[in-house]
Amino acid sequence: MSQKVNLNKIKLKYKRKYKYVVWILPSLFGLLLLSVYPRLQIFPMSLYKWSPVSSIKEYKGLHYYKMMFQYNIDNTLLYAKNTIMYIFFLFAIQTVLSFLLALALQKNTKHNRIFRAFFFLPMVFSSTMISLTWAYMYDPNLGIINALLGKLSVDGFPGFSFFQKNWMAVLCIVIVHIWANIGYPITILTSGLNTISEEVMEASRIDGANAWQSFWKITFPLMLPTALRLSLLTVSTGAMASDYIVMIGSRSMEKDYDTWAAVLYKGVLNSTDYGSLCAKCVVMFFVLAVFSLIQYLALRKVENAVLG
Amino acid sequence: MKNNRQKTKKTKLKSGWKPLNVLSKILIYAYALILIVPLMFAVITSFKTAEERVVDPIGLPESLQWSNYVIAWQEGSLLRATINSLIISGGGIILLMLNVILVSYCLNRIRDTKIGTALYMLILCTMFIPSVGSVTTVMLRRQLGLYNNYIGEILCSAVGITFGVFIVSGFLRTIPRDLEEAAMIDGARDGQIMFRVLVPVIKPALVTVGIFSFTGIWNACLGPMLTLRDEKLFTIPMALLLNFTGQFTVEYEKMFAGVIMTSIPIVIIYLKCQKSFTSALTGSVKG
Repeated sequence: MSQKVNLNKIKLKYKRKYKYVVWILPSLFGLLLLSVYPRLQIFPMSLYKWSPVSSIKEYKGLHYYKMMFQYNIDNTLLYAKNTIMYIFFLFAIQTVLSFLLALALQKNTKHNRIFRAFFFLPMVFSSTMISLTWAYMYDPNLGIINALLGKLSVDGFPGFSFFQKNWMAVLCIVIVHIWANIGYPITILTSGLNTISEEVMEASRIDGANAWQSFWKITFPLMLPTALRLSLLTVSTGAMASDYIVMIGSRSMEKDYDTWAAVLYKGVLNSTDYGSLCAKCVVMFFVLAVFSLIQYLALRKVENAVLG
Repeated sequence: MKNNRQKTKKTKLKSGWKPLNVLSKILIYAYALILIVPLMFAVITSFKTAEERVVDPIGLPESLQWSNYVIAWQEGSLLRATINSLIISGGGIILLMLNVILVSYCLNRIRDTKIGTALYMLILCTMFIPSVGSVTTVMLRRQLGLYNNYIGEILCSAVGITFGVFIVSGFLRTIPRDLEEAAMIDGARDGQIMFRVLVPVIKPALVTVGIFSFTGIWNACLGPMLTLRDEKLFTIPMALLLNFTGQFTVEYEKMFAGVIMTSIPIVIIYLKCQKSFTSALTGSVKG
Protein backbone atom coordinates (compact mmCIF):
# COMPACT_ATOMS: atom_id res chain seq x y z
CA MET A 1 0.00 0.00 0.00
CA SER A 2 2.62 2.48 1.06
CA GLN A 3 4.66 1.60 -1.96
CA LYS A 4 1.76 2.46 -4.21
CA VAL A 5 1.39 5.86 -2.60
CA ASN A 6 5.09 6.40 -3.06
CA LEU A 7 4.83 5.50 -6.72
CA ASN A 8 2.03 7.99 -7.27
CA LYS A 9 4.04 10.66 -5.54
CA ILE A 10 6.95 9.99 -7.86
CA LYS A 11 4.73 10.13 -10.90
CA LEU A 12 3.45 13.47 -9.74
CA LYS A 13 6.97 14.69 -9.23
CA TYR A 14 7.88 13.46 -12.64
CA LYS A 15 5.08 15.41 -14.18
CA ARG A 16 6.14 18.68 -12.64
CA LYS A 17 8.12 19.98 -15.51
CA TYR A 18 8.31 23.67 -15.02
CA LYS A 19 11.44 23.39 -12.92
CA TYR A 20 13.37 22.00 -15.89
CA VAL A 21 12.41 25.03 -17.90
CA VAL A 22 13.74 27.23 -15.12
CA TRP A 23 17.00 25.29 -15.04
CA ILE A 24 17.56 25.85 -18.72
CA LEU A 25 17.02 29.58 -18.54
CA PRO A 26 20.51 30.64 -17.32
CA SER A 27 22.23 28.68 -20.11
CA LEU A 28 19.78 29.98 -22.64
CA PHE A 29 20.31 33.52 -21.41
CA GLY A 30 24.09 33.12 -21.76
CA LEU A 31 23.75 31.78 -25.28
CA LEU A 32 21.39 34.52 -26.37
CA LEU A 33 23.33 37.33 -24.72
CA LEU A 34 26.90 36.45 -25.66
CA SER A 35 26.39 34.69 -28.94
CA VAL A 36 23.11 35.67 -30.59
CA TYR A 37 22.51 39.24 -29.44
CA PRO A 38 25.76 40.65 -30.95
CA ARG A 39 24.89 39.10 -34.30
CA LEU A 40 21.60 40.96 -34.37
CA GLN A 41 22.96 44.15 -32.88
CA ILE A 42 24.88 44.85 -36.10
CA PHE A 43 21.63 46.08 -37.67
CA PRO A 44 20.99 49.10 -35.44
CA MET A 45 24.69 49.79 -34.88
CA SER A 46 25.34 50.15 -38.61
CA LEU A 47 23.36 53.41 -38.54
CA TYR A 48 25.72 55.13 -36.10
CA LYS A 49 29.24 56.44 -36.17
CA TRP A 50 30.86 54.90 -33.13
CA SER A 51 34.03 53.31 -31.88
CA PRO A 52 34.65 50.79 -29.11
CA VAL A 53 36.85 53.11 -27.07
CA SER A 54 34.60 56.16 -26.79
CA SER A 55 31.01 56.46 -25.70
CA ILE A 56 30.03 59.02 -28.34
CA LYS A 57 27.43 57.76 -30.78
CA GLU A 58 26.45 59.89 -33.73
CA TYR A 59 23.43 59.02 -35.84
CA LYS A 60 24.41 58.73 -39.50
CA GLY A 61 21.43 57.02 -41.08
CA LEU A 62 22.32 55.09 -44.18
CA HIS A 63 25.58 56.97 -44.64
CA TYR A 64 27.79 53.88 -44.43
CA TYR A 65 25.71 51.96 -46.93
CA LYS A 66 25.97 54.87 -49.34
CA MET A 67 29.72 54.95 -48.78
CA MET A 68 29.97 51.26 -49.59
CA PHE A 69 27.88 51.34 -52.74
CA GLN A 70 28.73 54.79 -54.13
CA TYR A 71 32.11 56.20 -53.17
CA ASN A 72 33.88 52.96 -52.33
CA ILE A 73 32.18 50.84 -54.92
CA ASP A 74 35.53 49.77 -56.42
CA ASN A 75 36.76 48.30 -53.16
CA THR A 76 33.40 46.74 -52.43
CA LEU A 77 33.38 45.02 -55.79
CA LEU A 78 36.99 43.88 -55.44
CA TYR A 79 36.29 42.23 -52.09
CA ALA A 80 33.12 40.70 -53.43
CA LYS A 81 35.03 39.36 -56.43
CA ASN A 82 37.71 37.84 -54.18
CA THR A 83 35.08 36.24 -51.99
CA ILE A 84 33.29 34.75 -54.98
CA MET A 85 36.61 33.45 -56.32
CA TYR A 86 37.40 31.93 -52.94
CA ILE A 87 34.03 30.19 -52.77
CA PHE A 88 34.28 29.04 -56.38
CA PHE A 89 37.77 27.54 -56.04
CA LEU A 90 36.94 25.98 -52.71
CA PHE A 91 33.70 24.51 -53.95
CA ALA A 92 35.01 23.22 -57.27
CA ILE A 93 38.28 21.71 -56.07
CA GLN A 94 37.11 20.39 -52.73
CA THR A 95 33.94 18.78 -54.07
CA VAL A 96 35.67 16.94 -56.91
CA LEU A 97 38.73 15.95 -54.90
CA SER A 98 36.82 14.77 -51.85
CA PHE A 99 34.39 12.77 -53.98
CA LEU A 100 37.23 11.05 -55.82
CA LEU A 101 39.10 10.32 -52.60
CA ALA A 102 35.95 9.06 -50.92
CA LEU A 103 35.30 6.68 -53.82
CA ALA A 104 38.90 5.51 -53.67
CA LEU A 105 38.73 4.98 -49.91
CA GLN A 106 35.23 3.53 -49.88
CA LYS A 107 36.06 -0.10 -49.07
CA ASN A 108 36.47 -0.67 -45.38
CA THR A 109 39.89 -2.30 -45.46
CA LYS A 110 42.64 -1.65 -42.94
CA HIS A 111 44.71 0.17 -45.56
CA ASN A 112 41.84 2.54 -46.29
CA ARG A 113 41.04 3.16 -42.64
CA ILE A 114 44.63 4.21 -41.99
CA PHE A 115 44.59 6.62 -44.91
CA ARG A 116 41.21 8.04 -43.91
CA ALA A 117 42.59 8.74 -40.45
CA PHE A 118 45.68 10.29 -42.00
CA PHE A 119 43.73 12.57 -44.34
CA PHE A 120 41.69 13.72 -41.37
CA LEU A 121 44.78 14.61 -39.33
CA PRO A 122 45.21 18.28 -40.42
CA MET A 123 41.75 19.02 -39.04
CA VAL A 124 43.11 18.82 -35.50
CA PHE A 125 45.94 21.25 -36.18
CA SER A 126 45.32 24.89 -35.42
CA SER A 127 44.88 27.17 -38.39
CA THR A 128 47.89 29.08 -37.07
CA MET A 129 50.13 26.05 -37.32
CA ILE A 130 48.86 25.31 -40.83
CA SER A 131 49.22 28.90 -41.98
CA LEU A 132 52.77 29.18 -40.68
CA THR A 133 53.77 25.94 -42.38
CA TRP A 134 52.27 26.95 -45.70
CA ALA A 135 53.57 30.49 -45.53
CA TYR A 136 57.02 28.88 -45.55
CA MET A 137 56.07 26.65 -48.48
CA TYR A 138 54.94 29.64 -50.53
CA ASP A 139 57.66 32.10 -49.46
CA PRO A 140 58.98 33.66 -52.70
CA ASN A 141 62.64 33.81 -51.72
CA LEU A 142 63.34 31.05 -49.26
CA GLY A 143 60.24 28.92 -49.68
CA ILE A 144 60.15 25.18 -50.16
CA ILE A 145 58.04 25.05 -53.33
CA ASN A 146 60.35 27.50 -55.08
CA ALA A 147 63.38 25.58 -53.91
CA LEU A 148 61.96 22.27 -55.12
CA LEU A 149 61.01 23.67 -58.51
CA GLY A 150 64.42 25.34 -58.71
CA LYS A 151 66.07 21.96 -58.11
CA LEU A 152 64.09 20.58 -61.02
CA SER A 153 65.36 23.64 -62.95
CA VAL A 154 61.96 24.97 -63.94
CA ASP A 155 62.24 28.43 -65.49
CA GLY A 156 61.59 31.39 -63.24
CA PHE A 157 62.18 29.51 -59.99
CA PRO A 158 63.30 30.38 -57.39
CA GLY A 159 62.08 33.90 -56.85
CA PHE A 160 58.59 33.21 -58.16
CA SER A 161 55.88 34.96 -56.21
CA PHE A 162 52.74 32.90 -55.79
CA PHE A 163 50.77 35.93 -54.71
CA GLN A 164 51.45 38.25 -57.64
CA LYS A 165 47.97 38.03 -59.12
CA ASN A 166 44.65 38.12 -57.35
CA TRP A 167 43.38 34.81 -58.56
CA MET A 168 46.67 33.05 -57.92
CA ALA A 169 46.83 34.30 -54.36
CA VAL A 170 43.25 33.23 -53.70
CA LEU A 171 43.87 29.85 -55.32
CA CYS A 172 47.01 29.25 -53.25
CA ILE A 173 45.17 30.10 -50.05
CA VAL A 174 42.21 27.94 -51.01
CA ILE A 175 44.61 25.02 -51.54
CA VAL A 176 45.72 25.45 -47.94
CA HIS A 177 42.11 25.59 -46.79
CA ILE A 178 41.36 22.34 -48.60
CA TRP A 179 44.56 20.71 -47.39
CA ALA A 180 43.46 21.45 -43.84
CA ASN A 181 39.79 20.50 -44.10
CA ILE A 182 39.38 17.72 -46.63
CA GLY A 183 39.07 15.11 -43.88
CA TYR A 184 35.59 16.38 -43.17
CA PRO A 185 33.96 15.85 -46.59
CA ILE A 186 35.84 12.57 -47.05
CA THR A 187 34.46 11.23 -43.76
CA ILE A 188 30.91 12.27 -44.58
CA LEU A 189 31.03 10.97 -48.14
CA THR A 190 32.59 7.59 -47.30
CA SER A 191 30.02 6.98 -44.60
CA GLY A 192 27.34 7.97 -47.11
CA LEU A 193 28.76 5.67 -49.77
CA ASN A 194 28.82 2.79 -47.33
CA THR A 195 25.10 3.13 -46.67
CA ILE A 196 24.31 2.37 -50.31
CA SER A 197 23.38 -1.25 -50.05
CA GLU A 198 25.60 -3.84 -51.63
CA GLU A 199 22.51 -5.58 -53.05
CA VAL A 200 21.62 -2.66 -55.30
CA MET A 201 25.13 -2.57 -56.71
CA GLU A 202 25.10 -6.36 -57.11
CA ALA A 203 21.81 -6.18 -58.96
CA SER A 204 23.12 -3.58 -61.35
CA ARG A 205 26.21 -5.69 -61.97
CA ILE A 206 24.05 -8.71 -62.77
CA ASP A 207 22.03 -6.57 -65.17
CA GLY A 208 25.28 -5.91 -66.98
CA ALA A 209 26.09 -2.34 -65.92
CA ASN A 210 29.75 -1.42 -65.91
CA ALA A 211 31.39 0.62 -63.17
CA TRP A 212 30.84 3.88 -65.03
CA GLN A 213 27.14 3.26 -65.55
CA SER A 214 26.46 2.10 -62.03
CA PHE A 215 28.24 5.18 -60.70
CA TRP A 216 26.11 7.62 -62.69
CA LYS A 217 22.86 5.71 -62.37
CA ILE A 218 23.05 4.57 -58.73
CA THR A 219 25.83 6.03 -56.65
CA PHE A 220 25.58 9.58 -57.89
CA PRO A 221 21.83 10.13 -57.46
CA LEU A 222 21.81 8.42 -54.07
CA MET A 223 24.68 10.57 -52.89
CA LEU A 224 23.20 13.79 -54.21
CA PRO A 225 21.42 14.87 -50.99
CA THR A 226 24.58 14.29 -48.93
CA ALA A 227 26.68 16.10 -51.49
CA LEU A 228 24.30 19.03 -51.52
CA ARG A 229 24.29 19.25 -47.76
CA LEU A 230 28.06 19.30 -47.85
CA SER A 231 28.07 21.96 -50.53
CA LEU A 232 25.85 24.15 -48.37
CA LEU A 233 28.49 23.89 -45.71
CA THR A 234 31.35 24.47 -48.14
CA VAL A 235 29.80 27.61 -49.54
CA SER A 236 29.05 29.11 -46.14
CA THR A 237 32.50 28.28 -44.72
CA GLY A 238 34.05 29.69 -47.89
CA ALA A 239 32.07 32.90 -47.54
CA MET A 240 33.08 33.31 -43.90
CA ALA A 241 36.67 32.05 -44.15
CA SER A 242 39.21 34.57 -42.97
CA ASP A 243 41.80 32.51 -41.07
CA TYR A 244 44.13 31.60 -43.89
CA ILE A 245 43.72 34.86 -45.80
CA VAL A 246 44.60 36.89 -42.73
CA MET A 247 47.45 34.71 -41.53
CA ILE A 248 49.14 33.68 -44.79
CA GLY A 249 48.29 36.85 -46.66
CA SER A 250 49.74 39.09 -43.97
CA ARG A 251 53.20 37.94 -45.01
CA SER A 252 53.14 39.59 -48.39
CA MET A 253 52.85 43.28 -48.99
CA GLU A 254 49.89 43.43 -51.32
CA LYS A 255 46.48 43.15 -49.76
CA ASP A 256 44.45 43.07 -52.94
CA TYR A 257 43.13 39.60 -52.44
CA ASP A 258 41.29 40.08 -49.17
CA THR A 259 37.90 38.48 -49.03
CA TRP A 260 34.93 40.14 -47.42
CA ALA A 261 35.43 38.23 -44.15
CA ALA A 262 39.14 39.06 -44.03
CA VAL A 263 38.44 42.77 -44.50
CA LEU A 264 35.97 42.62 -41.65
CA TYR A 265 38.38 40.84 -39.36
CA LYS A 266 41.23 43.23 -40.07
CA GLY A 267 38.83 46.10 -39.55
CA VAL A 268 37.91 44.92 -36.07
CA LEU A 269 41.60 44.55 -35.27
CA ASN A 270 42.84 47.86 -36.66
CA SER A 271 40.15 50.42 -37.40
CA THR A 272 38.05 52.43 -34.99
CA ASP A 273 35.27 53.18 -37.43
CA TYR A 274 33.00 50.43 -36.21
CA GLY A 275 29.84 51.80 -37.80
CA SER A 276 31.13 51.11 -41.27
CA LEU A 277 32.19 47.62 -40.21
CA CYS A 278 28.69 46.93 -38.96
CA ALA A 279 27.28 48.00 -42.32
CA LYS A 280 29.62 45.50 -44.00
CA CYS A 281 28.46 42.85 -41.53
CA VAL A 282 24.86 43.52 -42.45
CA VAL A 283 25.57 43.08 -46.15
CA MET A 284 27.40 39.83 -45.44
CA PHE A 285 24.56 38.67 -43.21
CA PHE A 286 22.06 39.00 -46.04
CA VAL A 287 24.33 37.39 -48.61
CA LEU A 288 24.88 34.38 -46.34
CA ALA A 289 21.20 34.14 -45.53
CA VAL A 290 20.29 34.15 -49.22
CA PHE A 291 22.94 31.52 -49.96
CA SER A 292 21.55 29.26 -47.26
CA LEU A 293 18.00 29.73 -48.47
CA ILE A 294 18.87 28.85 -52.08
CA GLN A 295 20.78 25.79 -51.01
CA TYR A 296 18.04 24.71 -48.65
CA LEU A 297 15.40 24.93 -51.36
CA ALA A 298 17.60 23.05 -53.80
CA LEU A 299 18.19 20.39 -51.18
CA ARG A 300 14.47 19.93 -50.55
CA LYS A 301 13.81 19.59 -54.26
CA VAL A 302 16.53 17.00 -54.77
CA GLU A 303 15.56 15.02 -51.70
CA ASN A 304 11.98 14.88 -52.89
CA ALA A 305 13.09 13.79 -56.34
CA VAL A 306 15.40 11.06 -55.06
CA LEU A 307 13.32 9.69 -52.25
CA GLY A 308 10.12 9.72 -54.25
CA MET B 1 30.41 -26.09 -53.85
CA LYS B 2 33.80 -26.44 -55.36
CA ASN B 3 32.74 -24.50 -58.36
CA ASN B 4 31.51 -21.73 -56.13
CA ARG B 5 34.77 -21.44 -54.28
CA GLN B 6 36.68 -21.25 -57.51
CA LYS B 7 34.42 -18.47 -58.60
CA THR B 8 35.04 -16.33 -55.54
CA LYS B 9 38.75 -16.84 -55.94
CA LYS B 10 38.49 -15.72 -59.51
CA THR B 11 36.54 -12.55 -58.70
CA LYS B 12 38.96 -11.70 -55.94
CA LEU B 13 41.87 -11.97 -58.31
CA LYS B 14 40.03 -9.92 -60.87
CA SER B 15 39.12 -7.14 -58.47
CA GLY B 16 42.73 -6.79 -57.44
CA TRP B 17 43.80 -5.87 -60.96
CA LYS B 18 41.02 -3.65 -62.15
CA PRO B 19 42.33 -0.42 -63.66
CA LEU B 20 39.96 1.47 -61.35
CA ASN B 21 41.62 0.02 -58.28
CA VAL B 22 45.05 0.97 -59.57
CA LEU B 23 43.81 4.47 -60.29
CA SER B 24 42.36 4.89 -56.83
CA LYS B 25 45.58 3.65 -55.24
CA ILE B 26 47.54 6.21 -57.26
CA LEU B 27 45.13 8.95 -56.20
CA ILE B 28 45.39 8.00 -52.53
CA TYR B 29 49.18 7.90 -52.52
CA ALA B 30 49.48 11.13 -54.51
CA TYR B 31 47.26 12.95 -52.06
CA ALA B 32 49.09 11.43 -49.10
CA LEU B 33 52.30 12.84 -50.57
CA ILE B 34 50.78 16.33 -50.81
CA LEU B 35 49.67 16.00 -47.21
CA ILE B 36 53.00 14.83 -45.88
CA VAL B 37 55.41 17.15 -47.71
CA PRO B 38 54.66 20.36 -45.76
CA LEU B 39 54.68 18.47 -42.46
CA MET B 40 57.97 16.81 -43.34
CA PHE B 41 59.64 20.11 -44.20
CA ALA B 42 58.31 21.67 -41.00
CA VAL B 43 60.07 18.93 -39.03
CA ILE B 44 63.29 19.07 -41.06
CA THR B 45 63.49 22.85 -40.89
CA SER B 46 63.04 22.86 -37.14
CA PHE B 47 66.36 21.01 -36.79
CA LYS B 48 68.42 23.30 -39.04
CA THR B 49 70.56 26.29 -38.27
CA ALA B 50 69.43 29.61 -39.73
CA GLU B 51 72.30 29.49 -42.20
CA GLU B 52 71.49 26.00 -43.42
CA ARG B 53 67.90 27.03 -43.99
CA VAL B 54 68.84 30.01 -46.15
CA VAL B 55 71.56 28.26 -48.17
CA ASP B 56 69.75 25.01 -48.80
CA PRO B 57 66.07 25.05 -47.85
CA ILE B 58 65.35 21.47 -48.90
CA GLY B 59 68.50 19.65 -47.77
CA LEU B 60 68.85 17.71 -44.54
CA PRO B 61 70.58 19.38 -41.58
CA GLU B 62 74.16 18.39 -40.84
CA SER B 63 73.44 17.87 -37.17
CA LEU B 64 70.19 18.09 -35.24
CA GLN B 65 69.83 21.51 -33.65
CA TRP B 66 67.91 20.70 -30.48
CA SER B 67 68.84 24.15 -29.27
CA ASN B 68 66.15 25.54 -31.61
CA TYR B 69 63.57 23.91 -29.38
CA VAL B 70 65.04 25.35 -26.22
CA ILE B 71 65.28 28.83 -27.69
CA ALA B 72 61.78 28.62 -29.14
CA TRP B 73 60.39 27.58 -25.76
CA GLN B 74 62.00 30.61 -24.12
CA GLU B 75 61.76 33.26 -26.84
CA GLY B 76 58.19 32.44 -27.70
CA SER B 77 57.25 32.46 -24.00
CA LEU B 78 55.60 29.13 -24.69
CA LEU B 79 55.45 28.10 -21.04
CA ARG B 80 53.27 31.11 -20.30
CA ALA B 81 51.21 30.39 -23.42
CA THR B 82 50.75 26.75 -22.47
CA ILE B 83 49.52 27.70 -19.01
CA ASN B 84 47.13 30.23 -20.53
CA SER B 85 45.84 27.71 -23.05
CA LEU B 86 45.33 25.13 -20.30
CA ILE B 87 43.42 27.57 -18.12
CA ILE B 88 41.20 28.86 -20.92
CA SER B 89 40.56 25.55 -22.68
CA GLY B 90 40.30 23.59 -19.43
CA GLY B 91 37.93 26.02 -17.77
CA GLY B 92 35.99 26.48 -20.96
CA ILE B 93 35.53 22.80 -21.67
CA ILE B 94 34.50 21.89 -18.11
CA LEU B 95 31.87 24.63 -17.96
CA LEU B 96 30.72 23.88 -21.48
CA MET B 97 30.24 20.18 -20.80
CA LEU B 98 28.33 20.82 -17.56
CA ASN B 99 26.21 23.30 -19.45
CA VAL B 100 25.55 20.84 -22.27
CA ILE B 101 24.68 18.00 -19.88
CA LEU B 102 22.32 20.17 -17.87
CA VAL B 103 20.52 21.62 -20.87
CA SER B 104 20.25 18.29 -22.70
CA TYR B 105 18.93 16.56 -19.58
CA CYS B 106 16.30 19.20 -18.96
CA LEU B 107 15.28 19.32 -22.61
CA ASN B 108 14.95 15.56 -22.62
CA ARG B 109 12.67 15.74 -19.60
CA ILE B 110 10.31 18.24 -21.18
CA ARG B 111 10.63 17.02 -24.74
CA ASP B 112 6.96 16.02 -24.96
CA THR B 113 5.69 19.45 -23.99
CA LYS B 114 5.22 22.37 -26.33
CA ILE B 115 7.60 24.59 -24.43
CA GLY B 116 10.27 21.89 -24.55
CA THR B 117 10.04 21.62 -28.33
CA ALA B 118 10.06 25.39 -28.63
CA LEU B 119 13.20 25.74 -26.49
CA TYR B 120 14.94 23.01 -28.48
CA MET B 121 14.09 24.68 -31.76
CA LEU B 122 15.24 28.04 -30.41
CA ILE B 123 18.65 26.62 -29.48
CA LEU B 124 19.02 24.88 -32.84
CA CYS B 125 17.97 27.99 -34.74
CA THR B 126 20.96 29.90 -33.39
CA MET B 127 23.03 27.70 -35.69
CA PHE B 128 21.45 29.28 -38.72
CA ILE B 129 22.06 32.91 -37.86
CA PRO B 130 25.17 33.90 -39.81
CA SER B 131 27.94 34.53 -37.30
CA VAL B 132 29.05 37.95 -38.44
CA GLY B 133 28.92 39.72 -35.10
CA SER B 134 32.60 40.02 -34.23
CA VAL B 135 32.39 43.83 -34.18
CA THR B 136 29.55 44.05 -31.72
CA THR B 137 30.82 41.11 -29.66
CA VAL B 138 34.00 43.01 -28.89
CA MET B 139 32.01 46.02 -27.76
CA LEU B 140 29.60 43.96 -25.66
CA ARG B 141 32.44 42.17 -23.93
CA ARG B 142 34.18 45.43 -23.15
CA GLN B 143 30.99 46.68 -21.53
CA LEU B 144 30.47 43.50 -19.51
CA GLY B 145 34.06 43.33 -18.32
CA LEU B 146 34.67 40.11 -20.23
CA TYR B 147 37.39 41.71 -22.31
CA ASN B 148 41.09 40.93 -21.97
CA ASN B 149 40.80 38.45 -19.10
CA TYR B 150 40.54 34.71 -18.51
CA ILE B 151 36.98 34.73 -17.25
CA GLY B 152 35.66 36.34 -20.42
CA GLU B 153 37.30 33.77 -22.68
CA ILE B 154 36.11 30.89 -20.50
CA LEU B 155 32.52 32.14 -20.29
CA CYS B 156 32.29 32.88 -23.98
CA SER B 157 33.47 29.41 -24.93
CA ALA B 158 31.10 27.87 -22.38
CA VAL B 159 27.93 29.38 -23.85
CA GLY B 160 28.33 27.79 -27.29
CA ILE B 161 26.17 24.79 -26.48
CA THR B 162 24.30 24.40 -29.75
CA PHE B 163 26.36 21.63 -31.31
CA GLY B 164 26.70 19.75 -28.02
CA VAL B 165 23.01 19.91 -27.20
CA PHE B 166 22.19 18.74 -30.71
CA ILE B 167 24.38 15.63 -30.38
CA VAL B 168 23.75 14.80 -26.71
CA SER B 169 19.99 15.25 -26.68
CA GLY B 170 19.81 13.21 -29.87
CA PHE B 171 21.59 10.45 -27.97
CA LEU B 172 19.39 10.84 -24.89
CA ARG B 173 16.29 10.31 -27.02
CA THR B 174 17.43 6.77 -27.79
CA ILE B 175 17.63 5.84 -24.10
CA PRO B 176 14.44 4.32 -22.67
CA ARG B 177 12.58 6.35 -20.09
CA ASP B 178 12.42 3.28 -17.82
CA LEU B 179 16.00 3.82 -16.79
CA GLU B 180 15.28 7.24 -15.32
CA GLU B 181 11.99 6.13 -13.80
CA ALA B 182 13.65 3.18 -12.09
CA ALA B 183 16.24 5.50 -10.60
CA MET B 184 13.47 7.80 -9.44
CA ILE B 185 11.61 5.00 -7.71
CA ASP B 186 14.85 4.23 -5.89
CA GLY B 187 14.74 7.79 -4.63
CA ALA B 188 17.40 9.37 -6.82
CA ARG B 189 17.25 13.11 -7.26
CA ASP B 190 17.79 14.96 -10.52
CA GLY B 191 21.48 15.51 -9.94
CA GLN B 192 22.02 11.84 -9.18
CA ILE B 193 20.02 10.70 -12.19
CA MET B 194 21.97 13.06 -14.40
CA PHE B 195 25.49 12.20 -13.28
CA ARG B 196 25.21 8.69 -11.82
CA VAL B 197 22.73 7.11 -14.21
CA LEU B 198 22.70 8.95 -17.50
CA VAL B 199 26.25 10.23 -17.89
CA PRO B 200 27.79 6.73 -17.95
CA VAL B 201 25.26 5.66 -20.58
CA ILE B 202 25.76 8.63 -22.90
CA LYS B 203 29.52 8.68 -22.44
CA PRO B 204 30.31 8.09 -26.15
CA ALA B 205 28.33 11.18 -27.14
CA LEU B 206 29.93 13.23 -24.37
CA VAL B 207 33.45 12.18 -25.38
CA THR B 208 32.68 13.09 -28.96
CA VAL B 209 31.36 16.52 -28.08
CA GLY B 210 34.11 17.10 -25.52
CA ILE B 211 37.01 16.32 -27.82
CA PHE B 212 35.56 18.29 -30.64
CA SER B 213 34.83 21.37 -28.57
CA PHE B 214 38.18 21.12 -26.83
CA THR B 215 40.18 21.19 -30.05
CA GLY B 216 38.02 24.09 -31.19
CA ILE B 217 38.80 26.18 -28.12
CA TRP B 218 42.44 25.06 -27.98
CA ASN B 219 43.10 25.99 -31.61
CA ALA B 220 41.16 29.26 -31.71
CA CYS B 221 43.41 32.12 -32.70
CA LEU B 222 41.75 34.93 -34.60
CA GLY B 223 38.82 35.18 -32.19
CA PRO B 224 40.94 35.46 -29.02
CA MET B 225 43.25 37.88 -30.82
CA LEU B 226 40.39 40.39 -30.80
CA THR B 227 39.66 40.06 -27.10
CA LEU B 228 42.98 39.14 -25.46
CA ARG B 229 45.23 42.13 -26.06
CA ASP B 230 47.60 41.61 -23.14
CA GLU B 231 50.75 39.71 -24.10
CA LYS B 232 50.65 37.83 -20.80
CA LEU B 233 47.32 36.27 -21.77
CA PHE B 234 48.32 34.93 -25.19
CA THR B 235 47.34 31.34 -25.88
CA ILE B 236 49.58 28.94 -27.79
CA PRO B 237 48.35 29.71 -31.32
CA MET B 238 48.61 33.43 -30.67
CA ALA B 239 52.12 33.11 -29.24
CA LEU B 240 53.20 31.12 -32.29
CA LEU B 241 51.77 33.67 -34.66
CA LEU B 242 52.94 36.82 -32.92
CA ASN B 243 56.17 35.97 -31.08
CA PHE B 244 58.27 34.61 -33.95
CA THR B 245 57.60 37.17 -36.63
CA GLY B 246 59.75 40.27 -36.60
CA GLN B 247 59.00 43.28 -38.74
CA PHE B 248 60.99 42.02 -41.71
CA THR B 249 62.14 38.52 -40.92
CA VAL B 250 60.67 35.29 -39.73
CA GLU B 251 62.83 32.90 -37.75
CA TYR B 252 61.36 29.86 -39.42
CA GLU B 253 63.54 27.22 -37.75
CA LYS B 254 62.61 28.38 -34.27
CA MET B 255 59.03 28.96 -35.23
CA PHE B 256 58.72 25.41 -36.52
CA ALA B 257 60.35 24.07 -33.37
CA GLY B 258 57.60 25.85 -31.45
CA VAL B 259 54.92 24.67 -33.85
CA ILE B 260 56.00 21.04 -33.55
CA MET B 261 56.34 21.10 -29.78
CA THR B 262 52.84 22.48 -29.36
CA SER B 263 51.24 20.25 -32.01
CA ILE B 264 52.46 16.94 -30.61
CA PRO B 265 49.97 16.79 -27.69
CA ILE B 266 47.01 17.39 -29.96
CA VAL B 267 48.23 14.72 -32.41
CA ILE B 268 48.47 12.25 -29.54
CA ILE B 269 44.93 13.09 -28.44
CA TYR B 270 43.77 12.62 -32.00
CA LEU B 271 45.44 9.23 -32.39
CA LYS B 272 43.87 8.06 -29.12
CA CYS B 273 40.36 9.25 -29.86
CA GLN B 274 40.28 9.11 -33.63
CA LYS B 275 36.94 7.27 -33.72
CA SER B 276 35.20 9.94 -31.68
CA PHE B 277 36.24 12.63 -34.12
CA THR B 278 34.80 10.90 -37.14
CA SER B 279 31.63 9.78 -35.39
CA ALA B 280 31.01 13.37 -34.31
CA LEU B 281 31.10 14.46 -37.93
CA THR B 282 28.92 11.74 -39.38
CA GLY B 283 26.45 12.24 -36.53
CA SER B 284 26.23 15.95 -37.10
CA VAL B 285 25.24 15.59 -40.73
CA LYS B 286 23.00 12.57 -40.60
CA GLY B 287 21.00 13.57 -37.54
